[in-house]
Amino acid sequence: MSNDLTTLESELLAEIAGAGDLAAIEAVRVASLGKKGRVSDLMSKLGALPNEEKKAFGQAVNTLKARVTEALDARKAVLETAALDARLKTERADVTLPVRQGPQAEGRIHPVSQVLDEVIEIFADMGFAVAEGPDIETDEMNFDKLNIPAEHPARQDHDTFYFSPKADGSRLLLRTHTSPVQIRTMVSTKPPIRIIAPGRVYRMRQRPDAHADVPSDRRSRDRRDHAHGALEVGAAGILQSLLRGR
Amino acid sequence: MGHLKWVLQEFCKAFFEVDEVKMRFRASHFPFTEPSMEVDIGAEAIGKPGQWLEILGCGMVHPNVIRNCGLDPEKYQGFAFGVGLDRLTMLKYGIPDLRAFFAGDLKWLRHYGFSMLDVPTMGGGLSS
Amino acid sequence: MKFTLAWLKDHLETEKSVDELAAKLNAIGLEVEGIDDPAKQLGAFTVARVVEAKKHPNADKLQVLQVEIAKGAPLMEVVCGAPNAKAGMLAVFAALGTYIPGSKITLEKKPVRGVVSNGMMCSAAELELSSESDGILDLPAEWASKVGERYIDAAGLNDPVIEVKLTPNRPDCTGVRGIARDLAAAGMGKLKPEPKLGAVDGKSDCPVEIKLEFSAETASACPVFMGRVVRNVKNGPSPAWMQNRLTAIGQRPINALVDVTNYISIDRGRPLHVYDADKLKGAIRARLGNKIEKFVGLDGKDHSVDQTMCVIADDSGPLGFGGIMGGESTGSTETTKNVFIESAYFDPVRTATTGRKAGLQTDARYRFERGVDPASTRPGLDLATDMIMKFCGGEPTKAKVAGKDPVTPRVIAFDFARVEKLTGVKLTDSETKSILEALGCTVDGKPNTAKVTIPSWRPDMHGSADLVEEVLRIAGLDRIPSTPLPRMHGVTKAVLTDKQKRARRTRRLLAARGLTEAVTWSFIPKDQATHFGGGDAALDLANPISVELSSMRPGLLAGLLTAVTRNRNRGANDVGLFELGQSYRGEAPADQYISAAGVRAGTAKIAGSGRHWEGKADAASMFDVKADVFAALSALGVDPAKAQITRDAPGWYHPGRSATLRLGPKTILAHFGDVHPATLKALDVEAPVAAFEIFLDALPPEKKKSRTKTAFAVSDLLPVKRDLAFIVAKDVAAGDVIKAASGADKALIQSVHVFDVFEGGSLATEGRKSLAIEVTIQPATETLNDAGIEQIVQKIIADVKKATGGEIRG
Repeated sequence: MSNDLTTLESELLAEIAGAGDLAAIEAVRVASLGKKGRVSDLMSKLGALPNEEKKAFGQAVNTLKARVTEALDARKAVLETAALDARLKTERADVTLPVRQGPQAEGRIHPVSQVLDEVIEIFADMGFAVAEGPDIETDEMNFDKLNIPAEHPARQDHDTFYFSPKADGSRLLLRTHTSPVQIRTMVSTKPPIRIIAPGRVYRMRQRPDAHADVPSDRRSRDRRDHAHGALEVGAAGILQSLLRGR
Repeated sequence: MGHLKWVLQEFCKAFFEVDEVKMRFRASHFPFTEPSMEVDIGAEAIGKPGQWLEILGCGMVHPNVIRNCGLDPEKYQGFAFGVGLDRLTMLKYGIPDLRAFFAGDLKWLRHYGFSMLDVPTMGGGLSS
Repeated sequence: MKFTLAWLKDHLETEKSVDELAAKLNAIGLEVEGIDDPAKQLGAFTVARVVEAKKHPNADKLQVLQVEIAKGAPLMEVVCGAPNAKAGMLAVFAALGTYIPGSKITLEKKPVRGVVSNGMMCSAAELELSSESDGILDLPAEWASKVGERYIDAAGLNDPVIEVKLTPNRPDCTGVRGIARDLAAAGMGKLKPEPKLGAVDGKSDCPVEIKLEFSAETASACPVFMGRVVRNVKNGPSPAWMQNRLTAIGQRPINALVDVTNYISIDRGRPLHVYDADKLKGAIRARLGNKIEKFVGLDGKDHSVDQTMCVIADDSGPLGFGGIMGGESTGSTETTKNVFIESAYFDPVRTATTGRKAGLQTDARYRFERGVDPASTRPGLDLATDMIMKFCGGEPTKAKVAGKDPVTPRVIAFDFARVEKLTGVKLTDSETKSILEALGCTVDGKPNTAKVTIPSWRPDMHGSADLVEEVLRIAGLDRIPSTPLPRMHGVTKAVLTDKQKRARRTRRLLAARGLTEAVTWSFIPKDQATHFGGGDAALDLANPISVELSSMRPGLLAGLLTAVTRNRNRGANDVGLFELGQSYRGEAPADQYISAAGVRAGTAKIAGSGRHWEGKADAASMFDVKADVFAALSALGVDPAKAQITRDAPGWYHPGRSATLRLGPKTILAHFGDVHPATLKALDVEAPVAAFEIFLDALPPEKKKSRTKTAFAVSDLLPVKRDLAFIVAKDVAAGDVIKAASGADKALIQSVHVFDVFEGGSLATEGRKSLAIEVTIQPATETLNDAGIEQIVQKIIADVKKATGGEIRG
């Protein structure tokens, strides 16, 4: 009997070792440990044995079963690894294909906005708040209150953008500096006042770029076309005032 | 005016992110300030030594202006200054042409623009 | 304002260098625009004598000269092409190695047609002394003793020219003497005393009558006019030193009589005018003009006159503009025998207005519009008479005076302590006093209650702040201490308002969504303004720089769409731009509003623009910009799901593919959608483009939340998901289905998502579509059994049917 077991074991171990893929190993498992497998068959013979042999035979079969199971698992693991390796080999991507850069690579903050944020940050640290006011102003706010008399050259058409006069002769203008914001704040707020007033200001210039002179670039700028004429706009003027009681 | 000078010095140092900025104060005239000055900085701050660059005008708020706001110039005084943000931008970041600022040219904006992650803070440095 | 160093030294006794003087001028508010030192350009040129001139052996038009370049030095051989070179003449010589400014070359030793030239004889053009010249400079024979000297020394040209940019408040510095006074006050030397004049007032009466013909209201136009005739003058060129100075500052010497007036204008800031007395017809008068008059000015051009302008006239009509320009008909020429000198005062404002209207910018206007010293009328007249008599001889008459000098003495009460209070600079009382006195003020009384009398030449000084400015600028701005600003009381607070913070956040959020920030003009073409809901005439500029920039923008989209095309013209097709800024519904401050607008053109989608191997390059559409709007609103604390979406976006959006997001009937939060094809056509933009506008001012204020977060509470019970597909009419809004489904059990239904929309197949012909939704049900207290879930599902089906007529798909 034990010779039979030995023979069976070596046969099964050989089959296991010879199983070339997961299907084959499953077939070996069914043929050996399955309900009608050869190892299970042996157990069914147990009943026919004399009692004194039953125990030894049972132990021998269990040992055989354990060995076959272990061999099956080991072989299966090997085959699984091989199968995975084989599959992964087919799943090769071209890692040099470019990815989309994403929105953060395309979106940009305008340099003037960035500098405005920088300036606000610096003055905030010194306790200055940010004040704002309208772009369309009156002569009174833009000039009179700022001690700029009617005959001052800055009030002439060639420096200031005006709107058409109204029936009463008054006319609005585009502020030439952000100082009117200072006036509005001083009128409406009790001192002490600590503000900066960033914003667009509008001034016509005979030479559009006269204001923007990084010296080394002056020459190249002069050659540019002046199709848009004499204009300096969008310059965010910034002005502040500090008032305190004595 | 001592405060004004200090504020401008602190501002220039912080803005150009250097420990020292050479500054030159020149007497000038604006209708809304008195006394008035113009301020030049040494171009060392933007890496071009040997030149002075005019950057802003400032002064003590003119007594008439204070009076025009309903305050008593004998009791209140203050300082004011004006500086072009566009000019500051051009100086600090070496941008040559003012008109390109308003052209909405994507190539220009991507070249000179900033990432939304570059939020200027005093703690982290304004431009770094 | 230009002058030369030697000229300055006529008035200022100083040993300071030109650079020291320039630095001080800058410091005291007289900004130096440039220093032109002829020695730098012309220092190498010398006076030489041509000893012999022979024809060049190999060239017809060239001569070979033997030149004496210094007394007794060996003769130099120089090849010269100028036809006027001849033996015996004195000329200007440049040695080898000299840079010739006019021809921008440096002389090198090389043979000219076989003869080596050891230098060059120069023309005026080569020295940049004139724009063209005919042959080499032919120097006066009396310079024979100057052979070997530097040409600029021999010619009196060695005099640096300083140009100062004056601020409008300093008329006194339109004269060299005023500048010298400031420099002397600032420690740069000593102001020289006024020169002594000869006997300028004659015995006979001035034969020319002077009349001021103004009403009481207009008398200020010319309050004083005086004059004097000098008889039997012999006009001719003015002395070389005067011509050199005038030339150096860019003026053309004319004749002695005219040069004297021009010289005094620069020297004293005191413009004058000279007439040929024999050409005057009847009395000379100052009056306002009238519309039908005109005259020919000294510039040779016709000038029209109107009733606001002050003219000088005689019986024949107007001769010139008072304080701006004289006339040709009565001007003094080489043959003038009897000269009438005018010295008057003209009102600054009227002078400026007239000058602007006439388009004339002259030295006289430059001075009168700033305010000429009203006390200088007589001294100016006398100085001119003195100079004319010196240069041209003649006999003066008595001065004739009409009106009187508009001098009003001004005394300012001044407390010296004000200087430190305003500027932080500590000065001794005597320092303050001496600065004021050096500037021409008279100081009486004690330092804390001083009375300061202002000199007539400083119309800009009115109050104590002006005096502080004067003292400070002369004492030096570098004396201002740097004083740290005290911290404001309390904890540092946010300096930005909520609105400002929202603008900042929006800007960075939109950039994070792949849009690039543009800053465009505040004004746009009128037709575009009209197209975008503006175009009100009140918002048109009266003086636009061009029609392209004529009207205030009603919104930001016109500028952005124009930028799209500009980018496409430069080869960038996929354009994602945004702008955050102000626009104008009207002219009142409250009509100005802040919005954020964006455009996505071409394939500028959030994932990235352009074609990519991972998927199709779809054009950006309404749903991309809707996502922008929703993202922005969420970031700004407004739940977009709580807003109503209505199909009434403005006309510049595609009527079927656009919407308005609003809170109630009045508050519009945003518009978004594809841009209307007609709009694109009008702005010359190629389709498709999607756009949005978010009205930051309209957003409800963010609720002030407690800084502490609410407790984290999440159910342990698993959510249940159910997919339901409805067949609805094609025009049923998905939003209505979602709303009905969500409302079926507000407590348990956590979310409803649309995961499929199908409009094809047989549904299309039936005018219907299928909408598939995923409903997530979150049990609250106990796990729901199948019956409980089924109950909710049936309620959803019933509610959706009730709301939209939709049937559950079998």
